[in-house]
Amino acid sequence: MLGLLNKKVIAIIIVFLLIVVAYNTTFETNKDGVLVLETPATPRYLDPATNYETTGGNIISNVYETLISYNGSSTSEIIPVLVEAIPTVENGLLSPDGINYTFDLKRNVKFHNGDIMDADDVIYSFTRVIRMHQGPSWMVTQVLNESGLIKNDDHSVTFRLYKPYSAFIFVLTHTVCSIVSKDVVEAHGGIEDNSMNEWMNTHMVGTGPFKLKEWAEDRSFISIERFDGYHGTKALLDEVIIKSVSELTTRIINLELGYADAVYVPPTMLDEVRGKDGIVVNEGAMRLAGYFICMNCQRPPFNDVRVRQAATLAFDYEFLMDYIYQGLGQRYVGPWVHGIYGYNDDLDPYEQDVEEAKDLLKEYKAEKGISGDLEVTLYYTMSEISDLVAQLFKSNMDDIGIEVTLQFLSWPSLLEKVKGKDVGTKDEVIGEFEAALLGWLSDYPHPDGMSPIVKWDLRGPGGNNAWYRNDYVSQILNESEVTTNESRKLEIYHEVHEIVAEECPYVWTIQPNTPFVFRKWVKNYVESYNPFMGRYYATVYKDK
Amino acid sequence: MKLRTFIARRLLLLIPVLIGLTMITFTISHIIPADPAQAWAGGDKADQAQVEAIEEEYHLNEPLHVQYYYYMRDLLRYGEMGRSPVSGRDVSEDIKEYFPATFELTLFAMFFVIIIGIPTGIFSAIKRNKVPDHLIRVVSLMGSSMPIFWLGLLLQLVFAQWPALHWGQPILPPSGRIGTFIDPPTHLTGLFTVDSLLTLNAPAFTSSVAHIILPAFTLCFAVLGTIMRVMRSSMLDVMNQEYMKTARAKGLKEKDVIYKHGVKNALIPTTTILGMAFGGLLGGAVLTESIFGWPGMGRYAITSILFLDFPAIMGFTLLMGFVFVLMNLLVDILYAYLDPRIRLG
Repeated sequence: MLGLLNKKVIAIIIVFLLIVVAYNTTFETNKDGVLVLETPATPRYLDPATNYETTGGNIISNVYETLISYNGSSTSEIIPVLVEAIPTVENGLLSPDGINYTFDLKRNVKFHNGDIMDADDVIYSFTRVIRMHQGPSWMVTQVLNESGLIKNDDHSVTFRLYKPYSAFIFVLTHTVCSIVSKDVVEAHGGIEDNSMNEWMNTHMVGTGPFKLKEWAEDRSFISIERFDGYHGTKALLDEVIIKSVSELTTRIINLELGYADAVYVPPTMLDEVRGKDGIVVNEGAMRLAGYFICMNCQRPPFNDVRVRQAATLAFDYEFLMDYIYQGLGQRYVGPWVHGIYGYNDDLDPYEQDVEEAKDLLKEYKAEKGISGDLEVTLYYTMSEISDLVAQLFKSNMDDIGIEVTLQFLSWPSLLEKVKGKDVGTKDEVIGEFEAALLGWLSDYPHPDGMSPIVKWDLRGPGGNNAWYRNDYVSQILNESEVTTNESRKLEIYHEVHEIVAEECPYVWTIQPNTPFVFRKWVKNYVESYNPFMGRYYATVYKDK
Repeated sequence: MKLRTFIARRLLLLIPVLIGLTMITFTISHIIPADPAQAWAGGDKADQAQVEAIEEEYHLNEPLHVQYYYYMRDLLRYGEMGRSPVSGRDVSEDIKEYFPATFELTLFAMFFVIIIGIPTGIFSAIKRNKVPDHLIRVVSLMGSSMPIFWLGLLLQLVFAQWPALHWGQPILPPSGRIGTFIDPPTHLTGLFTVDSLLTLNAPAFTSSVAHIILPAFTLCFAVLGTIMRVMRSSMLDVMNQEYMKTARAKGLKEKDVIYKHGVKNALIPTTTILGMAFGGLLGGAVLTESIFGWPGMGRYAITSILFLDFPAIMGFTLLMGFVFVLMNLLVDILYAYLDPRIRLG
């Protein structure tokens, strides 16, 4: 039967395969001191001055350190990491005008190559962020330039801002402000204005509890190992391996087999793993992110507040929460999310009220002389959830007389739509869309990190996606950035909150949780998570 | 025409084919109404200066034909395929990393196709209209109609998940290219199985072979059905030829008639299909690579398309075009070798 291949050859092939299978089963697939995580994403860059996405950011926050950071899972309590104290007016390290921030560095903090960190490294780290001018650098350059980087002595630096910015302390917690070794960077390309450093994109020498062990050339995994010379509490794990596996079913199988200790599962698919032996499904922690449908406030029909209010009232938030997000999230009213200082918990989110929505639309149509349905297009990028949300929006708008066409676009194409066409001065540019499904992740957990989405001077992608214009809102938000009067700041945030809630430039859909799915033997997995910094692996361990 | 002349002529013809390919791909990828510079610069939060720097680097503000000129100039003069704004590396570096994985997967898939598809096709022809023939034809139909991703998931369940649940140990690993705790072999060819064999690295060899079995078998199913049917029908054709009857009449054993006289001629059309299948599998391994977490060209291609990574899209397309044309050439040469009646050119 076997034709070209005689029986001997077939027998050899079969015996060979059996040997391979048998030998392969003797290999370790799970080690006690090694945490294996599987996620669909893969980091892009490992240079803190260049990286601007979550996956790389979480690696960076475990290998590099910033001068200050958050205490555990808190997003408001800031603690010193590489410095002795947080600058305040009371301790004299912050000038009363909010311009000068002085930091006394901790002594004997080692980089992974054994060098000791000093003021030169700190100054250099910020210099390269400013001069390289890559993705996340705007957070620093919005208030700081090179002349503001002052070395007082080998263990003390001062940042002199060129304008007061009360959220600067929060900016310093972002990974873009990580401290790198001047000697190491200088030995590998140094600083080139407006350019990336290719070596730093693929190598890491930080002061964190982990050091880079390997980043596979094919980008299939990245591994970090414990740094025994760490200045703080040593990590409990020997190693953390993060593997890129795009297929959900494969990740789940690997988790069940113990090949992976934790995997990413989107909220809509958690039922696939709930109840399985040895697997924990935790609802996870709140994210400092808000998803929304932005309505172009400069283009009909959403340039009329009544239509925006009608869309906001027509949306079925309960269905979204219970069925699409499986209860993993909470309602919110933008532009800020829960957990951000200044969020007004007394402000209730809209509930669905189809009748009121219809009344508002009727009033609008009567005034404009429109008889049929309004027509809009909703643009979105494909993900496991966005398709469902888009369908829900379409269905809800159909109920009140707004006909929605759904259009899936790639991310660059969607950005192009939101950006709009340049037809002259910037005031003549408006986004080329009626509605778009987007979200916003706070770059730092402070109202200033999220207020761009309602500021007219930041209209377009990366800011005010809805092209919402309220000059008073923009004006008082600008005031809040410079004032050091805390009660005035809070007053501004609450006032903006109320105005934006009334004017509805966005349908604030959900502030999602990040669910955690992991094996029972992984300990401290939930507690090690910070909604802003991601997971701090140093406190995670395995106990089989 | 002599073989050397034939090969030289075909290789020369490769040049206008590839140029045409670059023009078409370049045009299509660049006329999509989108601003990749914003996405490349870091997304919606990238500032205008960063976006402009990217536009400057990639000549995105120039007319299309000027952009094409810069691309071809760098390719022909420096051999550079451009820097991928997504990976940050030159596209040729990316391809060097990802292509061997896909090539290795395809080689193993073709190996399965040959050792399963050809013998079963022959057997099916010999046992024409009997039960084995019907069974084989059903299997070949399944192979053509079964979605690859479904087969891949099924194999993962059967060979990894269920054995682990029942016996505490999977038979084969469900994903990846090599075990998590096995160091990849020293990079010589980029093919883990070959490199580990050349460096006598037994753990890497057994682990990489074990890891490739399921994805390679999944991938082979895409063409297995076709090969089985083509082999069957060409065997039937050959078996009815006069020279076959003559061979039988001369008293040769049936086994010798089939395998010495019949199979070689029946292989000719199958060889053509195999050659085209190889090129197709190389470019079409996306689903298999996604399911099995195989870090190959398929995944690279998807990411490039989603981010409008022009240099990567161009690089991937050029490579696949080159491979297709090369496979065509090899098939033609093999054809001439198998059938001396065929004259090249």
